[in-house]
Amino acid sequence: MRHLGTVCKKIAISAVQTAVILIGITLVTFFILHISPVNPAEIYLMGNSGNVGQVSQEAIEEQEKKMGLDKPFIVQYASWLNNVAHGDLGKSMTTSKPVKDEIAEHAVPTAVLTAVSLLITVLISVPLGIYCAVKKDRALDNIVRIFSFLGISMPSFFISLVLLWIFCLKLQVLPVIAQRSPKGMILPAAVLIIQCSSKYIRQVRAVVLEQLNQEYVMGAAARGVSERDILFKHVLKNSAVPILTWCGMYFGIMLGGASVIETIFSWDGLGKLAVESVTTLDYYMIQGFVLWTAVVFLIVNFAVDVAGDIIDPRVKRGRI
Amino acid sequence: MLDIKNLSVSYGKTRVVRNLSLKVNTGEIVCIVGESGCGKSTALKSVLMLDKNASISGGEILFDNKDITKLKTEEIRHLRGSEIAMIFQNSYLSMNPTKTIGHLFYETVKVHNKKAKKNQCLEKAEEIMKKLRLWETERIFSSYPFELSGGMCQRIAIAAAMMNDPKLILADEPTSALDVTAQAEVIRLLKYVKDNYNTSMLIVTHNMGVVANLSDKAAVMYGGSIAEFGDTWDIINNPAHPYTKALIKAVPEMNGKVPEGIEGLPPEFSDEKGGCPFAPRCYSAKDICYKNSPEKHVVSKEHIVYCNFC
Ligand SMILES: Nc1ncnc2c1ncn2[C@@H]1O[C@H](COP(=O)(O)OP(=O)(O)O)[C@@H](O)[C@H]1O
Ligand SMILES: [Mg+2]
Repeated sequence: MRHLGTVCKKIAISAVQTAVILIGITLVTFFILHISPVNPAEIYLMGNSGNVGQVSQEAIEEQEKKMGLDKPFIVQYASWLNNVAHGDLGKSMTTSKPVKDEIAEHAVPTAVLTAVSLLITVLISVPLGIYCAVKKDRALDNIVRIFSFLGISMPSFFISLVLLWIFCLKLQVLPVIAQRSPKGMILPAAVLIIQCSSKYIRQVRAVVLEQLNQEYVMGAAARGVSERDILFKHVLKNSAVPILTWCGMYFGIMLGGASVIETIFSWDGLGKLAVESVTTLDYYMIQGFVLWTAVVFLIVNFAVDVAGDIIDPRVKRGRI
Repeated sequence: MLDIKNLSVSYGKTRVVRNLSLKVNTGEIVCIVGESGCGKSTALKSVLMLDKNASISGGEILFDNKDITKLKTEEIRHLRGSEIAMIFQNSYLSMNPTKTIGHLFYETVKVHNKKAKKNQCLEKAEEIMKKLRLWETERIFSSYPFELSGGMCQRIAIAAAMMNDPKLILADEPTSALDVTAQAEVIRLLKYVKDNYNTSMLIVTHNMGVVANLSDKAAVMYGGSIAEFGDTWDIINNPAHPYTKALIKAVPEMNGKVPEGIEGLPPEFSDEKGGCPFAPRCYSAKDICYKNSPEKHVVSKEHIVYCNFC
């Protein structure tokens, strides 16, 4: 393979970068949790006894010792990092299950939601974005533009509530809560698709339009290349890298778990897990989640990078 | 072979090319000169109907007695790059940065002949390039445009233009973006092509050296129309139109003298009032010049001028 050398070099460089970024990210989260005024030991005990204000100071101190919270910040972080290096992400403070298992378990529904939503988002956005660029300012482009702006400007909780109201309350065609069933996935997927497509269509349109305005387009036309070939063999090939990059970004965002959407629709994925861990200040759970998101993004970034190398000779030959 | 008659081209409502008439005979090189913005590129691109924003609002473009403005899309596509080739100012920008030069040569033939084989196309390209004194063809074929110099890309563009043995080459300021040695080389190549292939050319240029060295005839354009048209030497030695005279005076010489410019600004295209477009800047303009369109005067057999007082 011609690009093997470049790819190997990239892997080496990004392995070092990845390590630095991961340590940075986890250190910052750990620190933010550390300075937050809430005491996880207290929350843990309150959660167990179910009574507020009935937890004695001694019990809290004992619990702190158990959780290792009495040690200095840097010692806490170092021992966590050491465990992570040995594949141990710690135990959830609320459920006492290993963080690894919790994440693995909740990753499944999120992954299913991601796969379906991303696939449909790409199938909608890429062709529509290309079409709108080619038929700029025509009827369909204007209609799509309006819907995109609506989709971009509405927050996800609002879209979620509107869809809930229409399909579950008014039309009553979908159940309000249908955990882990295909029917229950329709609405959360729809919200994700609406949100991401609104942006993605515009991004695809912009990059294709930029390419269409390049001088090589007229250059190719002057050599007798048909409009169709100019679009498919020249313009789209040159637009592929940014289009792919955004696709990777949406993949990362979705796989990180859409907290608001998952919570509203009780979709028991990582997003919902993250919200729950934050409300209970579940240190190791939150750390595990941050680590997961970071790793997902780093892998996606890397994959997109390598794909770009292979597609665009300017990257391959070190010009960009 | 190419006969443009009363051509008008507009961007939206603005008429940028106005009643332009121009003739290129077989084996002849015609140069169009004129200030920036006077509509030279627009006129040139309209020969291949290349600009989607521009619309032909009058006149005809006869190529081998067919009116190009009336052809169907697919018929025009078949003219482009095969019977009429075009060379741009920045060739390296007019080539796709993600395709190799080899692909450029191959595609140029392939789009007109589906059966074309890549190695045969490259053999032909090599033959042309050797004639144009472009060596290292293997390296060039596997290079991307951004890996080559501007002058090299321009020479490659000339070679690519020859791939389908065109009858006519259109060139829009082919030397403007180049340094002096590369300019000389491009001029030499164009001359070689004309002498050896009898290809006609219509060349837009700012460079009086190109006009003097290369062209058989020169057309001076002002405000979207032809001001003067004739044999190159006739135009240079006996310019008739006040604008042509001023233009020739404005050419810098290598004697340290600063050339005279032309006072005033080029015309706006927004107005459609009659009269000579050059009148506001013309020393010898009279009232009639602002009212009536300039009349066509025949100076000699191959020399015409559009001016009321020539
Ligand atoms: N795509 C376009 N849309 C609108 N106006 C244009 C466009 N291209 C050129 N023009 C205008 O047309 C006039 C002639 O331009 P052009 O033919 O490029 O001149 P030249 O090649 O002689 O410098 C200029 O006033 C320019 O502003
Ligand atoms: Mg121009």
